[in-house]
Amino acid sequence: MSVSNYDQNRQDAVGEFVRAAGMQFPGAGGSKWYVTAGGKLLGRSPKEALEKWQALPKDERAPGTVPVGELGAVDAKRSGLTPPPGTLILKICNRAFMRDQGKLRYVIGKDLWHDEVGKKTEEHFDRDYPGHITTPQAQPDHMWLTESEWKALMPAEARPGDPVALPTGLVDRLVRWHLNPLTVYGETNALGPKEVRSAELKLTVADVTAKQVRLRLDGFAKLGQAPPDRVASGKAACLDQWGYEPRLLGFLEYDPQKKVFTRFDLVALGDHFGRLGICDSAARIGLQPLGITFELVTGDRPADRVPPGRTPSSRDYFKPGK
Amino acid sequence: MRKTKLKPLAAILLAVGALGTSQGAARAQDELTAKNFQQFYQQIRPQAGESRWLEVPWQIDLHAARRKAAAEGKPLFVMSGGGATAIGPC
Repeated sequence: MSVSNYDQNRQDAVGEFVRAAGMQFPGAGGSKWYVTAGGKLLGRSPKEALEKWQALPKDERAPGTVPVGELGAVDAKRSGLTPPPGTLILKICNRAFMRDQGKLRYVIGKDLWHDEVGKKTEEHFDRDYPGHITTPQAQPDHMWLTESEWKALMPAEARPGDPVALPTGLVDRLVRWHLNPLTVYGETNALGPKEVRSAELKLTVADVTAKQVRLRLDGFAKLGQAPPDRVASGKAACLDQWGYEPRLLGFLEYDPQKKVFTRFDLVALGDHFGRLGICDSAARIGLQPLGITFELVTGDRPADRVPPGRTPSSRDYFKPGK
Repeated sequence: MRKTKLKPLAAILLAVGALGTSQGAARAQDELTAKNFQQFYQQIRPQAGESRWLEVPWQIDLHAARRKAAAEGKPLFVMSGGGATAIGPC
């Protein structure tokens, strides 16, 4: 069960359950708890929780014996957003790289600098917690396309070479919510309009058959600032400014008989400089690659319905300019 | 004299030029194209066995999770995140 720290303040059955059980969600850093469906706290370590669970009377742990009431009215101000009916969900992965001997490799602790010339690094994380720093992992997020947006991507009369007009709101969200490089390290708000120096996306029909329509998405974005000379020359890391200039390339496939997209693969890849996260002031030297993938979610796993971005700001997700 | 004075300058210019070319060549190698699209697509996404926590069938609705736990006779493991749900971009 995954929650945000905002759930503890909800003025509804969920918030009451959290508070009555005595769970406290601190925010950054997170926390782990074990609790019964009836609200009895079992502790914070798996061993302690298992012992307490096994010691409970059967009517507090047997299947179907614990009553759970109705949810009732939901505190819409503090609960996470749920996708509107018909939403097309894309799973996103954000990953920072280092160029190394002509290839891209994942970031390790010593790549992260706390000042411009690398005097203090996070190498001790590698030593003290080998393999446990989280920066190298692909950071997840989700993009939501409304039903009218994704249907607009498929023209009624598709012919190879035809351009397809992209809905303005979709492009705006893709660029400002989902190309924000800080997401590689944690949840973020959308970029402000002034942080987008330029961006362009073009969707073109590539191929049409009775069973499939293929489309290609091309584009670029120039976000944040242009790199200072000392950063562009690869001599320094940059902590007080940031910039990200990805190229975008995507391949979409549409089933005209079922009227659904069956493929929505998109990659953004380009040079980034600046801090990698909101909680940590670490940066990589020079200009280094940062990549983002988008892929179609299929199935109905609850985890795939996690809202985009930060819990509070995600409520503005579909509001233009937010 | 003039010729010898220019030598260090030329060397510096050559070195700077070589550095610029080297960095440009390095960037050109990871320029996104249709040919290398799949390579980068796979490299950015989680690798097999890398982020095992993504394999857990997480619930994100605490009330629904309580009902499921009660029906199945299981305790709840609750993981909190800050700013977003723990398994989100947190």
